[in-house]
Amino acid sequence: MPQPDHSYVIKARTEINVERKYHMALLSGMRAWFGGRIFRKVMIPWLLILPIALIHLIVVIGPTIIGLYFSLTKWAGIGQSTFIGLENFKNILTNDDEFWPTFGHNMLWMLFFLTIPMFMGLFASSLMAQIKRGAMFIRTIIFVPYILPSVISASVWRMLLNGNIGIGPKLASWGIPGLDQAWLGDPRTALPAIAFADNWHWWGFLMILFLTAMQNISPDLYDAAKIDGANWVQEFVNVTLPGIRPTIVFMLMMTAVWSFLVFDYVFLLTQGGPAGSSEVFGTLIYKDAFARFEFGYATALGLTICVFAGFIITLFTYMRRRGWDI
Amino acid sequence: MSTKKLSKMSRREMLKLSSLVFGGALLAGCAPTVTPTQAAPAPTQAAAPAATPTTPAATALPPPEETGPITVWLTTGDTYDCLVKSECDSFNAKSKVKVEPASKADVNESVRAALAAGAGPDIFPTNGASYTLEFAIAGQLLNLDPFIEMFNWKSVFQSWALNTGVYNTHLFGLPAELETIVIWYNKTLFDQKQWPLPTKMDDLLALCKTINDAGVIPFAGQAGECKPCNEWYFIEYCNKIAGPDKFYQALTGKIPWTDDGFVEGITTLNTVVQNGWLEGSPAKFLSATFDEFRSNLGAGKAAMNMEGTWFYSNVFDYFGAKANNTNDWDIIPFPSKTGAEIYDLGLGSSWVVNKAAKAPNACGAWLTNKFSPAVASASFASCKQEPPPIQIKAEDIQGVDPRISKVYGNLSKATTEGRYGYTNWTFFPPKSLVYAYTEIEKVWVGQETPKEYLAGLDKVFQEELKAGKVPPIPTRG
Repeated sequence: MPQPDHSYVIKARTEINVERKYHMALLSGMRAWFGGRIFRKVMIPWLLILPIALIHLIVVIGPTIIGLYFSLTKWAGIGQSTFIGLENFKNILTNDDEFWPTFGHNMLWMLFFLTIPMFMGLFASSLMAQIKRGAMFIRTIIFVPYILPSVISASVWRMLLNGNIGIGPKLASWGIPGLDQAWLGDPRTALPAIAFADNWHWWGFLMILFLTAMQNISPDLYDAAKIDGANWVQEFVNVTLPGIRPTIVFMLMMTAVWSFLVFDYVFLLTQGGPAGSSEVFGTLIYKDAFARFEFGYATALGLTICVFAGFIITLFTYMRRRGWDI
Repeated sequence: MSTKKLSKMSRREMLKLSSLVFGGALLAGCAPTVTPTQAAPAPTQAAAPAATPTTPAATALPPPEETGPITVWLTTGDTYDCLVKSECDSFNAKSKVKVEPASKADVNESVRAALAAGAGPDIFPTNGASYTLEFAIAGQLLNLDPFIEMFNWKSVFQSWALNTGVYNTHLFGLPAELETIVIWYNKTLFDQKQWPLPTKMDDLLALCKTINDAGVIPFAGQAGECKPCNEWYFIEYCNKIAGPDKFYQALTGKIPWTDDGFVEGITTLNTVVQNGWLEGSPAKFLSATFDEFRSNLGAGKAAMNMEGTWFYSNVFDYFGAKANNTNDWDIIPFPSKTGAEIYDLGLGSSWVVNKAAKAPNACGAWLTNKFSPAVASASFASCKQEPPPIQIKAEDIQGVDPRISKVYGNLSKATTEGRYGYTNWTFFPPKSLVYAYTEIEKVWVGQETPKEYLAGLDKVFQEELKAGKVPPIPTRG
């Protein structure tokens, strides 16, 4: 009697086993890869960041590269551009009568905002930290100007600084002289007046930041200082300031960078006048791009500002690497 | 003046003025202009304003062949709804291809970004001839030459005005608002004080002193809110003191801007500023706003306001019941040195068609409708939109104040007789324009002399003239 042929069954089983082993090996390999250190530490962060990286590529890196190209061209903002190499940058640094005075105004602006609002914010926050009752109300009052649209604040300040209907003439009518003048119409006072108006909305924001940082300082340090007999000033200098130093330094850096980007208050209050006395890079770029039809040149100016801002950031980074606790 | 009296006077004046103002031609001229087959004047040489035309204006709208719709961008403002009704609804009522208007706060800036992206509206206004020139140079605009014959534009527009939209012998833009600068004065105050109306520059300066001595600001004005408006002063003092002939010669590069006539003009202007005859003091003038100086005029704190005819759309906000005063206003031309009554020609926006427009004929039809006497008259009367440089008959105009009608009548007469000057915003290239209105503040604050300022202007202007950036200039007949 012929034996039944089971070889095909054995063969099939063997194939199934091989396939199973293959799949198991594959699964094991995948498990090792996806569950592995490299995947968890390297790949997952990259995958998570991918969507925002793509958006950043499209809305930041792309325009930056395009801007970089247009800064090397003569372009009216419409139509064809002509490649002119570094001509725009050369003209900015050597032929532009407005560039260096404007640079000076931005530096004055930076000097003002690195000092006055910083001191105001620090002083007010150190006082506010001690207030318990009604603190939220006072903080809100001081912070409100920051959330007001600049166009509203600027309109209000335009009236307040007016030479006919502003604060000065009103005080003069009450017998208080000295402030009765058109602050925005005098080349000597226009830029400080705009900085004053801008600071009105800015310093409250600094105060809130410093106050928040102060609340993270351990109360034990203040208790220890009190035991050692420190007065309010000594507490502030030896406990508060070191405690919020990272916040102060960060805001100093950001204020320095933002000082090169100022536009809204200057444009709304004087448009850079009178006689260019309040011209800043923001208004100059606007004028070059939209009134003089010099988009390529304006882009080069914008990039020049980026260099200044980059220098400031590099300086702070260098200081941190040198061991400064910032 | 009561409303009733004004209304009666308006009708009477309209009849009186009809022969002068709108009867023959409100805005005269029919000199040959650019056509697809006919060579146009060189970019810097437009035809001179000519005498009253005899050919009727084209008003018929040929049925567009395209499907549309077409899009048009208009500037956001108080008159937007009124203009949509006047210019778009009237077109949609009779056209198969519909127009879709959109409101933009700053059309010029919005449209540049849109065009760069290959989009944008089919039709839009630019800020003027020099801006149209930039768009045309960039190759973004549709050549309008075929429409000149198709819609009979030669008989609609004054040739000098039409030629301001010409670049490289082709038409790219249509001139819209016809403007000139005049003196708006507080008539009630003048009548009370019995101040004489000046006809010569010397009279004006003497009057300023008299007004100032009386404790009233001679001229209301601002340089705080609108820097480009500084050009009004440049235009008037240079045209009226140096004279329009010299202004023309400078615009065409025959004489420099440092000519003694211009130096005298800017020096006189600076005297007015330094004496506080503009808004009380240089600092107050340099920081004042529109609402502030116009309120001063209406309230009688200031006696005069040197401003363009566009102020007609706002003047009733500052005089009479709306402004809570009983004051009245009137207009006189800005006096010249010689005493000749000179009006400076200005064109406001310039209307262009996107090169990528999918229904170009419909765009041409819409423009023809916008610039037809019926629609332009309706916009003038209802929306207080200044009329374009086209021919409008008296019967087409209803409800326009006779004082402003008189200005347009005189402007028409002046252009016919060659007594016209030039405005910067129409005939200056962009960089020179910016220089003229920004750097003049350095003269006003004592940082530059008039001669230094004009030397700088001449340098910038000659560069732009050489680069072909100066719009076509109407020749002097």
